[in-house]
Amino acid sequence: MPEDGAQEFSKIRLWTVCILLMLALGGPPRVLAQESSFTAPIGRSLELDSNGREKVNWHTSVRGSTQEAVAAVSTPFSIIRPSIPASTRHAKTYTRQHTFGCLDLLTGQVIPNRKITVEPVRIPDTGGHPESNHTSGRSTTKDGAYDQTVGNTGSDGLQFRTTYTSGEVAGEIEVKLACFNPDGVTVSSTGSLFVHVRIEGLVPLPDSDPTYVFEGNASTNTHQDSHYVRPETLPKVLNLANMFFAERGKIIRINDASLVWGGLFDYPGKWLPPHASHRVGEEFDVDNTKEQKGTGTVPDGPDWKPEDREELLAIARSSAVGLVQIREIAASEASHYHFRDPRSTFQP
Amino acid sequence: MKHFPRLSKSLASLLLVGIGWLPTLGEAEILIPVIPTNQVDVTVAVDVKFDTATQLYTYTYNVTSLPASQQNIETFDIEFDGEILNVTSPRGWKSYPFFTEPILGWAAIEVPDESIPPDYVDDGSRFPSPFQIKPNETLGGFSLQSPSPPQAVKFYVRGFAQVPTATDAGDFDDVGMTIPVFPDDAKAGATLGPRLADNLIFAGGRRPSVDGFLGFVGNENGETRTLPIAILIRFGVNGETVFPDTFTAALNRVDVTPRFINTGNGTERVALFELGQSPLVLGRNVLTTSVNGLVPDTTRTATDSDAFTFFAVQ
Repeated sequence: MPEDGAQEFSKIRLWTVCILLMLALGGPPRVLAQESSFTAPIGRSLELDSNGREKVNWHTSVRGSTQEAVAAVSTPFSIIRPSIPASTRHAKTYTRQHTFGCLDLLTGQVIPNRKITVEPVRIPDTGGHPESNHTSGRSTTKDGAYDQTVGNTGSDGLQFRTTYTSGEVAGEIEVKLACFNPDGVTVSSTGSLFVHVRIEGLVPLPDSDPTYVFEGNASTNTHQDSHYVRPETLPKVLNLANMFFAERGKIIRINDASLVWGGLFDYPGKWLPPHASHRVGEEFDVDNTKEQKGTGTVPDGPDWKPEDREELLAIARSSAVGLVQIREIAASEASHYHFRDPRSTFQP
Repeated sequence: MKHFPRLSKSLASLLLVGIGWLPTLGEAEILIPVIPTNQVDVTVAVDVKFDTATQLYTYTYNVTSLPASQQNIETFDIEFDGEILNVTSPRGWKSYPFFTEPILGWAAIEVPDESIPPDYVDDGSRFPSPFQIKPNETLGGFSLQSPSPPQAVKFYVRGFAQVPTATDAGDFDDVGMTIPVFPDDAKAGATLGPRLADNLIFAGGRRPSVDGFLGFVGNENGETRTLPIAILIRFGVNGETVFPDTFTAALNRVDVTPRFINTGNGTERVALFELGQSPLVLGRNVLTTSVNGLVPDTTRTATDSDAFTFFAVQ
């Protein structure tokens, strides 16, 4: 084959590989490599399988702008629970080590000795927190944090290991990555991976039941989807409501439980307590006082009597072998009972 | 504090001063601290009767709050095993089967309108039922029926207290306060209650012609049993003619014959043994019994003497 023909063949082969890679990765790269190669950030996480054994997951990033990345299917490359601060029930800081690298898309090899940066950013409207009802700004409470945000891929390309500590707020975290050229200044490629910060397995209380009504899920509330509980807690809540209705002919008003992915329930929308609890689905509030906001037979309505309260507490005790009963009197709201499932299976 | 009631305010103040509790510790604001609800001293008397027509045992309980009790009793619960039915409650009390445990609870919940002062303002605090059992009072009327024979069961009694109150549930965690849950929120004791018994009957084994005069129901010689312990016996397990008046029993060489009460189911008798209130000891126990009867197919009287050994553990 003539030399020109061989070069032409090499070019065709190169472009074929590029096109195949682009198709495999879901689109053309935004950032072209500076050394006649395509690169892309990649990430590795250690997760536990169903048997509690560690398994390594390698993930290729979704490339492009944040908007495009978010619009893509954000399959998590890592799942982690929201951290729970000290002196709070089930207090624990959850961390996960991640390894990031830069992939040469032409050779399929990781690239050594490259600068790489990582930045976790919370994706709005995830984890049950409508962004428009919350204060703006960044914080480790909502975004979590990596202990190292800048590093080098090292001699084998896999030396940038950094530990992510989840924030208290549940939600989807976009991990923005940038690989740099050898000059360490210009970016060769960007991409995003996704971490899900959540309490897994929470289930919603049925939103239609003749024995209770929800409070706190109106469109005017900061969080509209706030009645999630643990699977073992669900029947106890239902039994409480059903038995109370059977005995008193009145319905209870269930206030906050947990958000869809658990985590901090910042009901004022400031990414901070006052709800220190309500994080793992084992707690829920029931209104208590004779306020005029209810109508008909709603127990905190006009016909709520002291005897109703005594029976509610007796049933609560028998409903779950003693739901923990705490009466909360926050300045901003009325007295209510805070029930906690003492037989919750949640383990920090 | 504008939501806080006169009743609770005075109670909270008393408690806070009394135990030296600071109402504000850091960010936490505890308005009513955790008050143990087991500050009661109680005895439970049980009567067991068997109805041959219905084949049901009727269990009737009298709950006595001793003078040393510091709280009125507001709940009374018993463990059971098997089917229960026809539960009755004293006036002002209602029964509640526990949702996740084989326990039947009663609670004093009735608050008659006439017991509420005209100037009462409902701020969310508990208003105690006047039907609670006060110190030095006895209340009967707790009863149930069951086909299951009597065995030792635990009972739980709880005193009245206001619900722990704070501005946020997490405040209790902040100050390291644990809120007791069942059964730690109650005073426990032992009584007789329905419990399924298998058909195993230990009758002895040395003298087949007289061993059936007395059998131990649901028990195996040499077994280990968890406290509390009840011994259920039946006379004439094979239809022998037995003279119950001649029955005697000694636990660890101490006469316990009067402890065996007649259940009304034929000649069945049951006795409850508790640590400290009977000759029962942890570890090895020996119950010796004897009763006279007629040797089958004869007119000759003989004595069935048994030595039943069991090991008691907490």
